[in-house]
Amino acid sequence: MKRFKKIVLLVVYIVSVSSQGAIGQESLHEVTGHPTAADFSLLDLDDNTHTLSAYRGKVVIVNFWATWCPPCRFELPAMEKAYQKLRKEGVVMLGINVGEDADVIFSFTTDYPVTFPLLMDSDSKVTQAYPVVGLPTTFVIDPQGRIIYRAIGTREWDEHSLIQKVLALKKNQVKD
Amino acid sequence: MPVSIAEVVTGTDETAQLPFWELRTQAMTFRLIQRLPDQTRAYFAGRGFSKKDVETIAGYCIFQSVYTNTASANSQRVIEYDASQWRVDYNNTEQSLVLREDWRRIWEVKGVNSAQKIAFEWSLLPSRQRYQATDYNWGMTVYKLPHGAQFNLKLSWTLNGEKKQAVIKNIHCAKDIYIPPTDN
Repeated sequence: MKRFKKIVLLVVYIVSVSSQGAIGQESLHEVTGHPTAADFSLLDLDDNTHTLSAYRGKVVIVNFWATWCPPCRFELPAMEKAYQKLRKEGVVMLGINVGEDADVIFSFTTDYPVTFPLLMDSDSKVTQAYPVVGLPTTFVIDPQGRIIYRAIGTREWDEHSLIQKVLALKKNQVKD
Repeated sequence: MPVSIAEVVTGTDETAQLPFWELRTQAMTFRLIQRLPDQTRAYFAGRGFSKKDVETIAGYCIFQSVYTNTASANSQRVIEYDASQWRVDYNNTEQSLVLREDWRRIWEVKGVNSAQKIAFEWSLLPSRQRYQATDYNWGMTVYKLPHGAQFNLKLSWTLNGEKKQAVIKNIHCAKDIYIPPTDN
């Protein structure tokens, strides 16, 4: 019996380790029912207002993050690389910082420079209007303003398969 | 409730250089990385908490926690947990974790301002979460235990709706030690 238990544990370990290796594969999960994304108006670090509904007609990636969140920091360079590819295709990327002020975010960008707008949700009201319970969480919104995909935790956003999935939304290649 | 086939791996977390305990099953991993009380003091002082409130937080046993759905990208495995169902077994008594909802009440009584409450809340692991393939979260988990305490954590979750449970044994809360600065 003990030997059987050891074999089972060994198998579990091998499966566990091999499936952890699979984290490198990237996935975006389709959100059931494609709910309409809650509209918001938030300031960026240059005091420009960004209103989600003003981007209607474009694909928008909305990333909820904070400077103290290690995975968020890990993800930002890949998001920036993806943005450099996607902006040429008319895709909008918005980083919504949860609960921090402009000074904190501004000094953070010295170490983590990004060119997409970083918006401030100081009272976390916008964050609460989305199904976000942990950071980072990212939503991909289609040109009709519907939330199509969601990712909890980091993704390699500049990976080809993710870029293609985002660009496919421009062509309405997701079933209703 | 079926006990999940699982193993617990311990060691030193590469990044934190502190002890970790990791539950590994076929579908998920849950890693607890020890946090020193001084780390907690520095972190929350940096978020604007008063010295008194910083000491309140640092008085708890806190772990950096990482919950991961380890399924490959195209898998349909969905994992859900409700941390209010988890139990801390310490000195033959059971207690719950101190969750976001508990802290909301604590901070309300103490009159902590909104910015600090937001920073605190989002720093904790979600009380409830649903993970699809490759999803994961980081966040602190908080235990009302003395520094240096040793405890078992009984975890439960569902895998595609099927209930699972496992125990991580002999987890050690960090001691409240002072490390003097060196010349190096």
